Amino acid sequence: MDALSRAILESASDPTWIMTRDLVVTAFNAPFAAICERVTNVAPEAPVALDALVHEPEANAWWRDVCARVFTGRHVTADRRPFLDGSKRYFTISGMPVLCDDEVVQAVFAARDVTERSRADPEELFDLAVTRILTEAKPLEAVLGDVLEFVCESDGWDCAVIWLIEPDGQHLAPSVIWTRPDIDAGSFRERVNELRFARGRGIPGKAWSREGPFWVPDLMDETGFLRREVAALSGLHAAAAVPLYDSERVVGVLEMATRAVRPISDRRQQALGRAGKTLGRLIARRQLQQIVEKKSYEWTQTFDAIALPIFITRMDGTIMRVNRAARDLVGGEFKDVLGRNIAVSGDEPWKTLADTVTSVSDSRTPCTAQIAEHDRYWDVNGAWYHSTFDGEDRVIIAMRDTTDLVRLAESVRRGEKLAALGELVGGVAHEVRNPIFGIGITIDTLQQMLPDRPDINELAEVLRNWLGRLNRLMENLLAYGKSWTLSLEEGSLDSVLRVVVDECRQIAAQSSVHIDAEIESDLVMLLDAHRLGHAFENLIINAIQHSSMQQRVQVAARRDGGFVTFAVRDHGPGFNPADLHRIFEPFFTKRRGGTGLGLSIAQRVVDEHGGIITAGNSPDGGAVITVRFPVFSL
Amino acid sequence: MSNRPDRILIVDDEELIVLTMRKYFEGLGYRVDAAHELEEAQALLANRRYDLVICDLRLTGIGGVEGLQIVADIHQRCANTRVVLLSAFGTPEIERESYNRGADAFLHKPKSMMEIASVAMNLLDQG
Repeated sequence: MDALSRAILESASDPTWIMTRDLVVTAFNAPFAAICERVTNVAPEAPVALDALVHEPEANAWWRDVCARVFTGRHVTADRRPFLDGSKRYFTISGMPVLCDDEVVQAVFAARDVTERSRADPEELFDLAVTRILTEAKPLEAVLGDVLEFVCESDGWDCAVIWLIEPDGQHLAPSVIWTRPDIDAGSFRERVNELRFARGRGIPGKAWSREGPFWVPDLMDETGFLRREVAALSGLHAAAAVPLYDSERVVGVLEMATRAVRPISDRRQQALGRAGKTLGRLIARRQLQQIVEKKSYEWTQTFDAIALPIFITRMDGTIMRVNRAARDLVGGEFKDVLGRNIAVSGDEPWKTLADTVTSVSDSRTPCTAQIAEHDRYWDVNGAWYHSTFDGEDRVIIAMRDTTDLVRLAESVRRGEKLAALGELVGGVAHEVRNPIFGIGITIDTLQQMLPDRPDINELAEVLRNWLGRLNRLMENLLAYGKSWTLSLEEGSLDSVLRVVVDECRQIAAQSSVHIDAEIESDLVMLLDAHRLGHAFENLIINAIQHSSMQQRVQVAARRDGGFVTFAVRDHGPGFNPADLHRIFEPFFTKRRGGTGLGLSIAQRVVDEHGGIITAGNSPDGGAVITVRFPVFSL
Repeated sequence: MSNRPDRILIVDDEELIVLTMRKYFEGLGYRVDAAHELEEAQALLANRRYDLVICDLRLTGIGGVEGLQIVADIHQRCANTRVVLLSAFGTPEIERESYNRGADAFLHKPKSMMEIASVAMNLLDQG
């Protein structure tokens, strides 16, 4: 041994020795001598055979195995836990081959006492790591990455992979990969990420099928190792895998590898096995937590998606939770809303909401309330529940915007009222027909019996006029009360209108009103002649009734592109602009003796023909009603 | 018109209408009989030949269409008798049905006596 080698050997603080292929220690330093003396009670002298230093068969076999690996040219790291002076010591043994002309002629060994560092055995290491899983709010994968780093750094591994069983229960897939920075991490990850192991395949698959630790002291010795290429690339030799258990169920496998050749002791195996159970349980719990979080997220999304504003408050009205609709009602961000009292202001809807919370708090029974604020209506439901999360009582307030419902109800009520009214007046009108008929024919008969009495004839005409008015009123009431079924047939609007205008001329003449008609021919469209005639009659008579003597009523109908338009214009006072939006309402009338049904019926008929009716005033005075029908054909 | 004045039967459950119409048609020179209900009308029709029957559609309570029965009877038994139906409640369906059963005219109330008489005389002229 040269002086340099001697100096290096002596400078090492750990027990260090040099051994030849025939397992003879040829040189050692003082710490080695000290340990040997403590174990064998004899101070060693070089050269000394391994067998002379290690008598116990198990220990002797272990050393021979380690040495054999080193003399194949590999750097080997191994754990050894001898009892020294009555206490167990933890040593990491490393053996480095010394090459001469490509042949290992001797090897340098060092034993590092890692008792203090390894006082936490793998199980404890996992426990420590697991504590971090519990305490850190990171996502599972990030936490597992930290665990792997911690375990590898503490227990001397160069890389580690957590494999989790895929949802199909058939394969292990890599979940988290950790490598020391000096490993070619990129290609390692890339290759590992592509891998899937079935039960019993590869190191992770074997740990899974055995349901216990599985290890390979040196990957290069194994046949059928799927990742030989990966291992060679990264210089990996020893690998160990332990199943991760949740109760009796394997959820995954923790696999670790190191660049050293590393036999693994039974005790470490057992410790790793126990650690696998702890880690597995926690992974499963964490996965469950993620599912719960996902569910919670989904629930929040659902909560927000509900269009009804929902408030969850303390019993004193402090807002603890709101959904988006409730937040929008308050205004501002969620953070502005939470923690406020629901009595946001003294105005509605807050006043009623605050009252509801108080009622629920006081009575501990569900409460309901209605809010009518300007034009908006709300139904409020309040209930309480006991939060098992923090043990406090909460009030849950759900609001339903019933504005549309209230309006609809009003409209239905109005509709029902009108329908009921219509039925009534229709029924009455029917019964009135016979008396009107009776009066009419009685006048006729009187006139027939008194042909030479012009004075009687004049009065008979007066009676007939009253009857005519009564009759029109009755027909309008009947038309309004009728539930209509339209029978559309192809017909010409102009012929319907001409008949109506002729009838109306007689009525107009009685008031000395003239009707000017400009009616184009062949205005063919789908129509119900009887109804449409009734509508036109109503519109024209309405114009006559608003005309003074000698005024003219103008009636026009013509084709206008794809439409047929009808217009009637008078020269009376015109509509009061303030009334324009109501003139088509049933029973709206400003005329003495009017039923307020004429325009309403006209609108309904026009509607049923798919047309649009509009009312307005002409710039030079008088009312104008325009109707526009789209032209459909059969 | 033949030498002998035509005989008209007026059927209506309204006594006052029957009274008025009878006076009007008598004033025109017709011989007029009257009935107020279906059976009475059927009895008269069985015993005497009428040139024209003016009949109200409804002779009883709400929804009655006894006039249709009379139209059918006349159509079967006295082919030469003309029938005018009068109604305050007639729907297009009933109007169609009455023509199908053999009515010669269907008039919606109210109508003036002149209108009714004009229809009646036209029918009688046609024989």
